[in-house]
Amino acid sequence: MSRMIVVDHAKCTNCRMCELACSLVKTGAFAPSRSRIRVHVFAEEFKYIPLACFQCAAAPCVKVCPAGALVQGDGLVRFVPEACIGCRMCMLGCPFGVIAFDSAAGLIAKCDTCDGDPECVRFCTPHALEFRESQLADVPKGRDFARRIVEAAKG
Amino acid sequence: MHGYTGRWLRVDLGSGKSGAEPLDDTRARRYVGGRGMAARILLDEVPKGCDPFGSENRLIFAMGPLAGTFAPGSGRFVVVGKSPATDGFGEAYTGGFVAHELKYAGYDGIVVQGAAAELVYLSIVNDRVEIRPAGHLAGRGTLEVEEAIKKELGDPESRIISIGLAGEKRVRYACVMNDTDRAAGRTGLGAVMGAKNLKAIAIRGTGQVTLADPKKFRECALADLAKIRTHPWLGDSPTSAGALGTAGGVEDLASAGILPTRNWETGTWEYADRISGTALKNTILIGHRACQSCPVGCTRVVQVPGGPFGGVRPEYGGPEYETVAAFGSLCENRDLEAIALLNQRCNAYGLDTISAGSAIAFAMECVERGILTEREIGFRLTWGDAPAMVRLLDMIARREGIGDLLAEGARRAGATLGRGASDLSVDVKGLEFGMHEARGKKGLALSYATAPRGADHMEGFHDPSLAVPNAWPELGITEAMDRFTLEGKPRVVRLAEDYTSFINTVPLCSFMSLTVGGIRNTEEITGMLAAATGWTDLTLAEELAIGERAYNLARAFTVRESGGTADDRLPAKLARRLRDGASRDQVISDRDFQQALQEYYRLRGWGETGTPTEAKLTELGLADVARQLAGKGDGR
Repeated sequence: MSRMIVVDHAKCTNCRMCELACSLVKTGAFAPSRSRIRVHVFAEEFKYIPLACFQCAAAPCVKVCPAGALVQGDGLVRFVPEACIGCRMCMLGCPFGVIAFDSAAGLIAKCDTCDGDPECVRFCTPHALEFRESQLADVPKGRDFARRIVEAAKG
Repeated sequence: MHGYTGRWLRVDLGSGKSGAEPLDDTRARRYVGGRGMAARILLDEVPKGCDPFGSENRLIFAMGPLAGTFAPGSGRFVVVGKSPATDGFGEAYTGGFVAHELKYAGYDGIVVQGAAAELVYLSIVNDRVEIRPAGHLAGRGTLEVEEAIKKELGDPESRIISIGLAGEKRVRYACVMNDTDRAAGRTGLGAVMGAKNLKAIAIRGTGQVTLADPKKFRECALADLAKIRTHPWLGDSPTSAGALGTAGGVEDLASAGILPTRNWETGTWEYADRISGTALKNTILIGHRACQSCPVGCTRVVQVPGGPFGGVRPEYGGPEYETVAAFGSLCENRDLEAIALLNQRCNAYGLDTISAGSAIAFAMECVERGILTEREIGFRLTWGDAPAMVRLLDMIARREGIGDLLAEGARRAGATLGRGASDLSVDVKGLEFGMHEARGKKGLALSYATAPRGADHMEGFHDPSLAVPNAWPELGITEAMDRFTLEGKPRVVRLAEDYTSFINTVPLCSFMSLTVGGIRNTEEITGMLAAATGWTDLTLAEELAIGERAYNLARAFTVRESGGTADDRLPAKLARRLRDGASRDQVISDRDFQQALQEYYRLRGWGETGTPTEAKLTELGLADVARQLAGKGDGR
């Protein structure tokens, strides 16, 4: 059973530790512009939405890559830098905009869940990011909704 | 160089020229960043007796080696200049996202000198620095300014420092705002920015911050995070700073008789529970958010859509403790929605909520005592009248009518009004008290009296945390001490100030580095700083020396500008008895205070008038500063 990074945006406080943790582990320095996870801010609505690769089951980026630099396996979409030709077709193909181009490295950058031990999750104090079994990932959300039914039934 | 970018940006608004200047490792280790670097620059570059609003004054934005990293609480910087409130060392700390962004842009700090002929703003995008016209932003509030500049630059991720109307109008307690809801609040530096005709600074950086030892840095940060996450006040608990904000303890302060009430007449108030963090949570709170790299998130987010105090929006943030007390108990205003609106107006105008609330409370007492009349104000102003408070705040920001006098701050207003009004201003050196009652925590009175920027609640410590043994064993503070006594306090005050001063040179958020009775994370902080910079032999002793050096630099500036007398006096009200509550009848007698003051001076190595001695300054490697104080030479 594979695990995935589950985002509960209601818990995000916009501290941006995830971006820094990611950039440090992936590049050896603090550079949020090179992070694989990005927090999108909607100040007026008071919403902070962290987004990273969803590791799609039928990933458009894999389909669109002409060089075989993105491959599917073990519930992950893996990037093979040696095969990458730098065409950025994957960035166009990704419907979520979660593949970035790391200009310092000259390569695309995407989340690989740190091979099953995601650094961003470790640094997320409010638990907006959690690494869960993908089959169980939707349980808390379902339970939260079920609670609303319970509340409504109370009158 | 690791931790640092190794460059400072200098901008001359007079000539329009700007450029980067190198920072070397020796200077970095000596002054670190934040207060240390900024105080050194101020002493070197601002001539003695300079007009705070004159073009010779500097406006310094100082980051440090941990800005740009995930060190908990590192999203912090300091704004420094000669203060128009005190005419001494002006400094104000702020959080948000600017500190990190400037590092990614490639700078450890900015020195702004000169003044522009017309209103301008500065745009910094990595190496590209531009001065752009800002006439169209005149009089605009900080949120509007941020939105307009982001649109103009085509970059919604720009980080912006700005002033509102109060800074343009040179209100002496105007603050420098950033990221809409963060304020470098105290000492009136927004008015200095206004005098320089600088409306805003937009910053965008795509670079990086490197570390000498990334592995060690990560380990220390995780160890620090573990302590913070399990700390009773910072971690995950229903009464934590994240859950209730910094106003979570309002009821406890009232119970202990130290909640500033009715312009410092008493320390207890029956309506404390109407304005507390719990009340906020149960009414207008919609959530909380954090500054960059903060695991706590004490920033309140509130919304008041309609009603008499409607229009409060989430972008401006909600009132924190100082604001709640200044616009709440100090003015006996029990309407939390009004407090939220006053907070929002202050953030939009760029006004220090502490001094603004203090000015209003001062005016209320002047009315009560017949020193100010309804006719002079233009309307009735009685304790707790929230609509009148909002009206008066607008007049202060616009310098209209009586607002023009109150915009000068309570001390100057008191001197102008005469007839005993000066006794109603609760300030030191012209800076109004933070919302902490020194008669009920007497060690704090020493910090208030002696701190470089005037009555400063962020320098020393708060006595209730000393009530238990082993408050800070690392520094030999093991004995429990009564909050109502000054006895034994000078030593503890001095140690706490030196450590806090070190934290302010890094700088880190005060909450993530609580000293006395705090998280005990000095080892983790040393570890992070050493791993970032490569100063592998860094010790707590050196950190205290760094703090002491920075403290003496700031102090030296204040002493130099006041003509050699330190003016370490407490306001008249502290000699009057607190009216009721658990701290009832407490006073600070002149005899006790003078005794503690002299002991404190001796421990600090300062002379009988509070001037740092040549021996002390030489010991700290600041012999040139001793020459400045003796009137022989200016700077290095």
